[in-house]
Amino acid sequence: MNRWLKVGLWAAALGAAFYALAAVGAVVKVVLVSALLAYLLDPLVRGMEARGMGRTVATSVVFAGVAAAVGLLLYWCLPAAFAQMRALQSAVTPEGLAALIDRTERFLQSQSAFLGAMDLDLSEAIRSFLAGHAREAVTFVPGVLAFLGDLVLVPFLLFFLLKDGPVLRKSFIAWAPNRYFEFVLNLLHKMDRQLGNYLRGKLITTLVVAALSTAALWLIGVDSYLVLGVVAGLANLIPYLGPVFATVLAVTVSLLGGDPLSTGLAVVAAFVVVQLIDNLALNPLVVARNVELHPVTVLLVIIIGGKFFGVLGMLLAIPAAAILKVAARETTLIARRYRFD
Amino acid sequence: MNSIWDNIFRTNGGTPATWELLRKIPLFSDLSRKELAAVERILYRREYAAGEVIFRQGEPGVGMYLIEQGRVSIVYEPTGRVLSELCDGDFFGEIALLNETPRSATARAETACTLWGFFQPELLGLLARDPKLGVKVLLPLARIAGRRLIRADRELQALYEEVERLRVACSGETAGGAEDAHEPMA
Repeated sequence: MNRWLKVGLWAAALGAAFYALAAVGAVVKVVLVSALLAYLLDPLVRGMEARGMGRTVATSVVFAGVAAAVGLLLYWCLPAAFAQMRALQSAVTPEGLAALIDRTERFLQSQSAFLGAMDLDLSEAIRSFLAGHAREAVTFVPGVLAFLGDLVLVPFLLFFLLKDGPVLRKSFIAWAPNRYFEFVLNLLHKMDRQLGNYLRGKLITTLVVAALSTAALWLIGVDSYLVLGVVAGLANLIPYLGPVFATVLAVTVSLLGGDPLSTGLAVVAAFVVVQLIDNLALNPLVVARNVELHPVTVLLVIIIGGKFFGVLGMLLAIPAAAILKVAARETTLIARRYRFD
Repeated sequence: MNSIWDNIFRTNGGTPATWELLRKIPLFSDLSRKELAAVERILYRREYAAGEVIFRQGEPGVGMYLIEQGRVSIVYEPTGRVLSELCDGDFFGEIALLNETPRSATARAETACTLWGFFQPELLGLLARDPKLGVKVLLPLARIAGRRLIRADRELQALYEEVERLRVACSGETAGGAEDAHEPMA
């Protein structure tokens, strides 16, 4: 068959598959999240197996450990997080925003008085934009939490995907025809080597950035430190834009809550320090093989992810793009070494 | 719900019949039933039709194959020369299990074959998960590889000696020829 026709057919099939996935979005989300978690937790189970435990027992131990940790965290933090979120939602109003913009404008005018009287008229420019979008940005968190509420299936799926991961992987590979069998095996092995470390590294950096941001906001005295800290951790999954978004959101919320400007500046400084720690110390330490994505790719996949799968899609867009990139690269690299007709 | 509990308490790892088959393969002859079950979990059982290519010379190799039943020929591609014919209990491609190297020859099923594939990712996983069992599988493999190396060394030595003998004979002949050429002038 013509090479380009083949490529075209593959592209069409991929597109159709993607649309089908998006159409049954909610189920796919749950399955994808469970599969991703199972993949991330697999080394823990293997580690227990190396100590002589059976797979089922090892899975149960890891599962119980994770469930206990998440349960305790939710028990301690969830009521506070909900209270903070309610406070946040009532604080972020168009009127509040307008007042904040006026304050900013007056401050800028007083600071730049030496340049002569300036009419910045920030209010008109920003008000319409922010009033619409700030609420969206804040409902982002309830959106994620609402999704978490739908996630009753995840623990169930996670347990079985974690326990039967090797069996599922084996049956998937066994399903390949003889001619492509070694190729598929080789490809999955290479992808696992490149992505496993990267994705687990991302999980660790997300957790650490969330913890550091929460602690910093609490120390500074921002009221909604829990919600904003978690958002900062999650947003950190998105390169370039994520940290900027988290900082802008935290400063806006803090100022809306009536904090003085110095608090806002302290938040910016704290987030810059967290970013420095993440990029200079944490990332080199835990992410051995980074998957480089072009900024344009980052922007596009975030938009596409958001379009099809909402907020969660935006957060998972970067790991998904990394998976696709490594898959495409390794497929072409390895396929070139096989003489497929 | 029954299938859920069946799943949880299921012990993956085949049946006594497959363990007996695996035990016939020299690599696994010393393993206990429990160990055989663990090994069976990481092997891929593949069926090949007569004439089907198992792997091609020059392609990346990721592991070895053990023959449960059937006949496999190892062919050197450019000439089509059959390097060896293997049957039940034999294995081939073992270099690729340890080192990722291109296949040095093509393997073709001469009859309908049942093979067990044993691949590097699975071996590495086994070594990480159960080092004791990993060593029990690797040691006989290393011994057989060593034996094959000794045999190859011996064959190489014989070839050297043959080349040396031919060189001496050849140079003797040309020297003799030179003498012959000289003779009329003398």
